[in-house]
This record gives sequence, structure tokens and C-alpha cells, in this order.
Amino acid sequence: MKHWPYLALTLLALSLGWLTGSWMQNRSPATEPAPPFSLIDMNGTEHRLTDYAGRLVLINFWATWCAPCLKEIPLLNDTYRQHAAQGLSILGPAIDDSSEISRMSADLAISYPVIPGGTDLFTLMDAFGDHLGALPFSVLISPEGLIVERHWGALTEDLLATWLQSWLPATANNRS
Amino acid sequence: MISILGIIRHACPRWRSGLCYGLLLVSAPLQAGLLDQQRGGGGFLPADEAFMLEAMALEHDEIEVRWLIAPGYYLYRHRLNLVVKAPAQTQLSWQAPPGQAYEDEHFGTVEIYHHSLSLPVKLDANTDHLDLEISYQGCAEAGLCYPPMRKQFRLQLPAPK
Repeated sequence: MKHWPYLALTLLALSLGWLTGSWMQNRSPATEPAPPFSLIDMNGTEHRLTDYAGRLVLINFWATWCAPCLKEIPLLNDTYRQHAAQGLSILGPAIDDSSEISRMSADLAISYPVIPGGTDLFTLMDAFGDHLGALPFSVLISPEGLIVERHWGALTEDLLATWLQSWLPATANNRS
Repeated sequence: MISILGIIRHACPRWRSGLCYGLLLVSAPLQAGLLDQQRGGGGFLPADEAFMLEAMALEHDEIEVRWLIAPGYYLYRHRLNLVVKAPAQTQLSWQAPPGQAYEDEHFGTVEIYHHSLSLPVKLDANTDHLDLEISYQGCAEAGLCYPPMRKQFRLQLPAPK
């Protein structure tokens, strides 16, 4: 078994590779300014990036044909209700037919602004750093207007808690 | 992509030496990062790599549409559709095979396909070509869905036997 040190080194190298890949996948792009946007919600209210200066903004792109999107919306609803007063805003741009979005928004009792849109929202997703065009896609924008987190796929309670702990100072203070 | 491990193996005649293993330790994380960048966001595949689609003419009156579905991804049966763009009078006859039953809390019981899907399609028109639009939609099991996709194909049909 004179080769065992090489075997151990190989396993170590592969482990480091896996860890590095995971880290690169989840690292925070904390220095990138968010692109300006102007979105009209289902009530006709306009939402611009500049309107949210000083607040933490979670933009969650979704669609009615996307099962994981629908699954995570109750979590977003709860999170919004718990933390809106502490400075969290959530926007939900939805890529679909307006009537379908309206029906699903009512079914899910979405409490944050929902923005119906077409393929123009894919362009906005691209501007936020998404090159897949798949959903759900979430972006977290700091009170300073920087993109601090991106996530592809359904958000989990643990991930959202970590984001809020890191980026919503009032939350961290409440928990300490 | 050029394999960094391949470079090390060529550069080091005795690649099991300590020096080369040192390089291996440095390169493996780098290679992992490069592989990650080749994929889409969050390590998910771009739609055309998750669902590789091809359509081919088998006979004058028969074509086949095939999907190769990447591991960890699936297609919805109820989202499959074929539309003839030209010649307009061409009629298609096809039946998607039964898929795997999948219970979704919002959509109820749906059928999905993993790994691959082959769809034989019969034509009833006398033509030498077919312009076809194929629609489909799928998701990753890890919780990401791709928008409904549409692909156009022009198929040259063999002469009747």
C-alpha cells in the first residue's frame, strides 16, 4: 500500500475541487450595482430601483407554470409580513398571461407587489445576472443598491434566514 | 475545455511525484470553478443542454422527434405539442407515450419523462418537406423550471417507395 499517500492526496484534491465549485456557485457578488428598472404592478403602481433606496429588496421572478415558484411563495409571503417593517421589500415579477397571474396571486394571497410581464422580464433577469431564463430566480439588492445575492431555484427557509441575518441589520439586532 | 489535469500529466513525466501532486491540489479547485462557469446559474444546465431535441425524417410519411433529457431533469407530457407550419394542409398523427405519474400540489397528477423520449409521428400529406414547430417544457428536480420552449425544424422527406 505504498500508494496510499497519493490516493489520499487525490481525494483531498477532489474534495477541494468540490468545495471550491460550491463556493463559486454560491458566492455573493456584493459589489455589483443593480440595474435600474421600472415595473408596473397589478394595481398600476410603478416600482423603480430608486424608490427602494435604504431598503433591502428581494426580487423574485416567477410564473404560474412553474411549480417550484408556487411552492416558495407562501414562504415569501410570511417573510414579507414578518420583516417589511424592518426594511424588507419584496417584488414578484411574473412571466405569464395577466389573467393567470391575477388568478394565482389571489389563490396564493400574495401580499407583496406582483408585476405581470412578458418576455421583457427575461431581459430584466438577464440584466440581474441570469443567463438561464429559468424560474424561480431571486435577487437580493442591498439598501445601497448593490446586488448582494442571487439564487436559482426555490428559496428555502434557511437560506432566506441567512440572507436576512446578513443583509437586514434590524433582523440581526432582533436576534441577538 | 482544455483539461488542466491533462496539462499536468503531460508536463510531468513522473506525474505521481510530490511536485505534480502539489499542482494537482492547486488545479482541482480551479478546474471545478471553470466547470461551474460552463454551466448556467446555480449549476443548472441551459435549457438546450437539459433537453436535447432532434427531429428526423424516417420515411416519406413518418418522422421521429427525440429528446435526450439530462439526469436530474424531466419533461412534462401535457406540455408537448407539434404544429405544422408548412405545407399547411399536412396532418400529423402522434401519441405521446405514457409518462411517469408525478403528483404536484398545484397542478395535480401530471406525467413526466426522464432520460429520453421518442415520439413517432405519421404524416398524411404528399410533400417533400415539412416545416414543424415543436413545443415542450420541463424542469430540474432540484426545483427550477424552464419556460415553454418552441423549436422550428425543416425536414426533407424521402421520396415515396
